[in-house]
Amino acid sequence: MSQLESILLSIFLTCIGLLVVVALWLGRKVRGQQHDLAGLSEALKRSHAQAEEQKHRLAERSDLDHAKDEFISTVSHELRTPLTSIRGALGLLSSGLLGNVDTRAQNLLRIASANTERLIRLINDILDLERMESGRAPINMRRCSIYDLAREAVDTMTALADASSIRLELNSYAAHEANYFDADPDRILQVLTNLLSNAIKFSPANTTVTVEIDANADVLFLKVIDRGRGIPGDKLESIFDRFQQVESSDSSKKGGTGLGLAICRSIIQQHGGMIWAQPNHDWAKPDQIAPGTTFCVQFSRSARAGDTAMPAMMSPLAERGEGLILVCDDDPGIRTVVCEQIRRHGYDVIEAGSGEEVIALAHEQAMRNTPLPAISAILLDHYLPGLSGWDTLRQLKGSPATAAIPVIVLSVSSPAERPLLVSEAQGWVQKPFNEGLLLGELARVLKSKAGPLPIAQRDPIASRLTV
Amino acid sequence: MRRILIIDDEDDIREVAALSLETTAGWEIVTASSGADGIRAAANSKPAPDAILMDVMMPGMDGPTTFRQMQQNPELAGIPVLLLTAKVQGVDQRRFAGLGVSGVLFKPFNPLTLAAQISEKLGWKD
Repeated sequence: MSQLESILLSIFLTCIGLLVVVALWLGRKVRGQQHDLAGLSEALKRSHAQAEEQKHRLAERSDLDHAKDEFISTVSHELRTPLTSIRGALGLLSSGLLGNVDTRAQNLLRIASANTERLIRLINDILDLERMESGRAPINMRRCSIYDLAREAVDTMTALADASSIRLELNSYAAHEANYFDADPDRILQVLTNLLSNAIKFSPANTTVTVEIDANADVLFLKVIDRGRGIPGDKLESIFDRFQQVESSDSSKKGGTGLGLAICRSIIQQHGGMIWAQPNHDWAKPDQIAPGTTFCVQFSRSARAGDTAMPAMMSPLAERGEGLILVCDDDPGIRTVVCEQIRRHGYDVIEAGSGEEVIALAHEQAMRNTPLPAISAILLDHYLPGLSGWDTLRQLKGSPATAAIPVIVLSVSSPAERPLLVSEAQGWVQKPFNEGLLLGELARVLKSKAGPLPIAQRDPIASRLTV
Repeated sequence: MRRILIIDDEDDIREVAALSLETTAGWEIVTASSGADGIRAAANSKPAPDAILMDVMMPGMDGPTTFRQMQQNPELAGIPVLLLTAKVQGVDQRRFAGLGVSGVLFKPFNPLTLAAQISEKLGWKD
């Protein structure tokens, strides 16, 4: 064998060897990929099964909701029928149209009439609240002026205020054009008259109830300030819950239904706004808390019709969402419902049951240690066992890897009660919420924030994975 | 004097509504306790009623069905009909509006202002 032949042979053998090595390497790689793909397909199957299961649970829930609505509607109708006879009989008797009755009988008739009216208001309020919270109360958004609405509310309530020797005052610090915003004027008027009616009811005679308005390019702000007995700190939040009053005797003494503020909160939330109560602050005496309460309502202009208030009323086909949302709530029931709601609107979802899990998942995602795309936002329950919502939020914001992920807090508290939390979080949804509120706030936060990288810039395999 | 036909299956409500309209407006009242009786009462009433105040949920023929039957009778079709209902849901209100009635009033009504509400819905000035 010539030298050339032996060289060719060794080259040939080397090539064969290389080919064998390449083939073995490729084989392993393909097997690895097959293994990866098998894992991925398993994960997809699992998540599809989960989604089906959740859909089933949601359908059951929706049947239950339907039955509940039907029940409330029927009960309301059945109660109205006897009340019609009672109201009619008492109204005619106490009017004196059928002849005079003696003073004691007249007083009894007045008591019966007043309580009949209260019962009617209660039934109306229950139905109103139920319709709003089930997302079926029609909201008709129009351009309107917060000043004009406040003026109308003040005018409407002047007679009631006069009867209790209370003065109503309206001050605006906003430029004329800053008063305009998109809202349902009837619903906002309902909130304002309700706040004024409360302020009048709980104010001593010869005091003033002040309505203040301020607005700029970003927010509209309205305050109703009374000089009444004030609300204890531990009740400032709970008074917005159904049938919660500062004194348990308030509803009978003041003729309220105990639902007014819950309705106000529902309406304001449907508008993407916030409502809370705070003790009056006397700037002249900063150490002392002045008597009385200030009810504050805030509307954000960025949270307008299309962003927040409408999804509750519009078809689920409205606007499709996009992005991966990490949902954390320790209650598996709430988690299931929230996940299904946002998944239905096109978002991808991962779940966490604790604050610790959120931190771990957020870091994993940030480091791209998983095949999933980057997290677009985190929905974080406020009250979590172990690492609290607040501590979780601080840890997320304190770490450069996760600080940029927008966080929406889900809480039974109002944002006013947790100012520190508000300043760290990008969004807030108060429980109980409906699908519209949740999706509205999510859409608003994702739009206002410089969101995650566009799909195309992400890892190509990861972006194809839809859960 | 106005003559009003009240159709409601609840005796108490018929009585209260009749008393309310008689005492506050001085109207003459005819009553019926079902849709079928109501159609007969409207046809037999001389002179014909100026308006009909009719309950929605009644056993047998309900308010909307009774209204449609009256519309097919040339003698009764011209009488304005107001529905009186305890149903306050938006969906019901839209359904009633689509029937072509002259208006919808809600239970529980205020006995002192019921006549004024009827006059307002029907554009009666007196």
